[in-house]
Amino acid sequence: MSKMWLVAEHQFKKEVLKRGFLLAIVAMPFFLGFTAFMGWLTERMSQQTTAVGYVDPGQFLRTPPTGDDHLRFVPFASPAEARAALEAGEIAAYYVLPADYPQTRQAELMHNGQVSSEATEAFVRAVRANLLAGQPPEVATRALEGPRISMLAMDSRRAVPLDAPGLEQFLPLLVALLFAFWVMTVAATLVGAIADEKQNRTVEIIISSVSPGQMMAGKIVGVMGMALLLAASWVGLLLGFAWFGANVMGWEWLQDLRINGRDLALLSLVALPSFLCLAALMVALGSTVVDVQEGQQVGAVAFLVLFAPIYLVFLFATNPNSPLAIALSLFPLTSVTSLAARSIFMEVPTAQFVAAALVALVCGVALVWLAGKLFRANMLRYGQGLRLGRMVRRGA
Amino acid sequence: MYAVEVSRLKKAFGATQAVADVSFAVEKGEIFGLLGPNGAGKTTTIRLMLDIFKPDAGDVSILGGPMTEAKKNRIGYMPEERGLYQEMPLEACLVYLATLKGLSKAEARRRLQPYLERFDLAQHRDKKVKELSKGMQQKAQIIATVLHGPELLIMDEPFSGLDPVNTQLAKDLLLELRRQGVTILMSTHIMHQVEEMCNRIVLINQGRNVLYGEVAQIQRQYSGHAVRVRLAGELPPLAGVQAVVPLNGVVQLMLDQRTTPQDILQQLVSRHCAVEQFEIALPSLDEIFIQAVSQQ
Repeated sequence: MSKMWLVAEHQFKKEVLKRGFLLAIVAMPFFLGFTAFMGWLTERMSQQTTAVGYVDPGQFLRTPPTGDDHLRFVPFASPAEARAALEAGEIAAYYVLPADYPQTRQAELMHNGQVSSEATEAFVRAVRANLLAGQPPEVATRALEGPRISMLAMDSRRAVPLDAPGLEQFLPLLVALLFAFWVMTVAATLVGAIADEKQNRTVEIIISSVSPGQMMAGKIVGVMGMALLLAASWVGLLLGFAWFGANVMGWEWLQDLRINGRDLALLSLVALPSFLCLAALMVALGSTVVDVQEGQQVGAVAFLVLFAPIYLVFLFATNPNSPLAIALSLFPLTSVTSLAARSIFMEVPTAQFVAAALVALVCGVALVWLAGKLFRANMLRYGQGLRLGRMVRRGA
Repeated sequence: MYAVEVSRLKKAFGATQAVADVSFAVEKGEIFGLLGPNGAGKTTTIRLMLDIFKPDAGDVSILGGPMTEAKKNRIGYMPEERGLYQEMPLEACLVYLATLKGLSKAEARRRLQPYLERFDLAQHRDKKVKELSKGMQQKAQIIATVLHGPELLIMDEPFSGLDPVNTQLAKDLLLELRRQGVTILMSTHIMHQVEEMCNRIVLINQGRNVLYGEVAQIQRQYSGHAVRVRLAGELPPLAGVQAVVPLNGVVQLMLDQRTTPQDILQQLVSRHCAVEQFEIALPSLDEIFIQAVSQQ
């Protein structure tokens, strides 16, 4: 077996046998699941069972309003009965539809405190359904749906339905976020893997057995192996979650999910050289830091840069073609997340994806060269960081 | 053909001239001492030999030519900065390092067993390296250097951190390897070990050769005109002795230029002195080291 593969195998085993690896596998799905659960829990806790009354002396509501677990409609024979119930606290509010409602279209709402928007929407929907009773079912259904408004960028074919944006609109961003988390996990591991050799004082022994290039390549391949296993675990867990949601839970938003293959393919094109850039940068950082801990601290700065476009997503919504948006799309460390964020609002031209990939590739190659130089210059400087000026003055 | 040949080697780091002009050759199957005070350029010379650093000038021939990746399997190197993977179990760590030198895992394990027993580490094989004492780690480092059966051993301070018992163990191992034909280049400050083990030495200071050659020859070269004598009785007055220096049970007689050691021995015998010890006073390598370095 080539020595590079021996280093890779050693690094791979070392990383996957760490307790932290198991934690990293479950961390991302757990994070997503926990966020979803907390949202659901908050919504559940904010919902109290509400009783709302209505008085309909003219028998206009042939189909009465329906509630759910948290909303109950109670019919009353007269406004006086309804008012008594309101004052007794049995109901939160009541509607009065006078006998001449079909002519006047005027109704009254009596309430004590705030009426939930869900109650108002449900009652109004019931009134509208009764008003549309004579219409053909498809007309009635469409009229009840109301207007469909989509945001369409001036120079784009991409539309974002403002009333109910679907998961497919945000899927590229979700993928980019997963990529960013994945890359950062890999990056932190890579910095650690290089710094670990310095901290253990094993660099000199290893490079008396393998070339520095073989050592670095072995470490990158080993960490990549770990990262691919991690990514496969995440994707597997997410697909399992999607299958469970669509087939067992019957969630429509998952059943109707349509994946934009073009965007994902183009993002992958940029992701590979972008990863190369970051990996080389991390090797360079790993060579210059004193120990693993310092490496992780420096790596955290790269994490902030990588996520910058996520913080700027609202700027992208305003103008996804702004110079800043394009610049961030071309900068290798932010290209994937920027392009993904912009893809929500517009169809980013293929040329920009290709340009971003080329820039990342060129920078990646340059960074690999620089990482090699830094590694050679600094590999035996145990317990010391490297000053750039010193590196420039001396060569390995 | 030499195992190692270094010729007019130079290396500077910025304004610092770490190695200015170093030349020596190590013969196959000998133990060769690379000596010098701190900062003399010993470690840099070793790193240049192993192609860890590129020289600014000069040539290095190692095992018959320039250093190559393939030759790394034939060399065992113990650097000044000791290093083992602290979080790994001892056996796994040593086996991994041996596989990087071209051994299969099975072969590495097979060869490791006798070494672990010899160095009294067998019962610690499953312990993490960080759980071992400094001395144990040092012994493990020696095993890592020799496990793959190298033709050439390069060891920087091989006995540092070892107690006398383990120093003897390590010394015996190196002498045994020399008998098997292994060439050993060691850098050390412990001069009595150099006197005891090394066939030849090079002493470098400020990046330059100061002394180079066989240990005995260098000692003769630095010997003063003196003899060391131990007698059963009193030392009688002797002709040709300029001074008498008592030295830990013996006396050192400083002779004038016309008097030879044979003249002194003849005088002692003719006066019926009971001579218990008589030797030409050779300086220790420590003395030579100090003298040579301070003369520079």
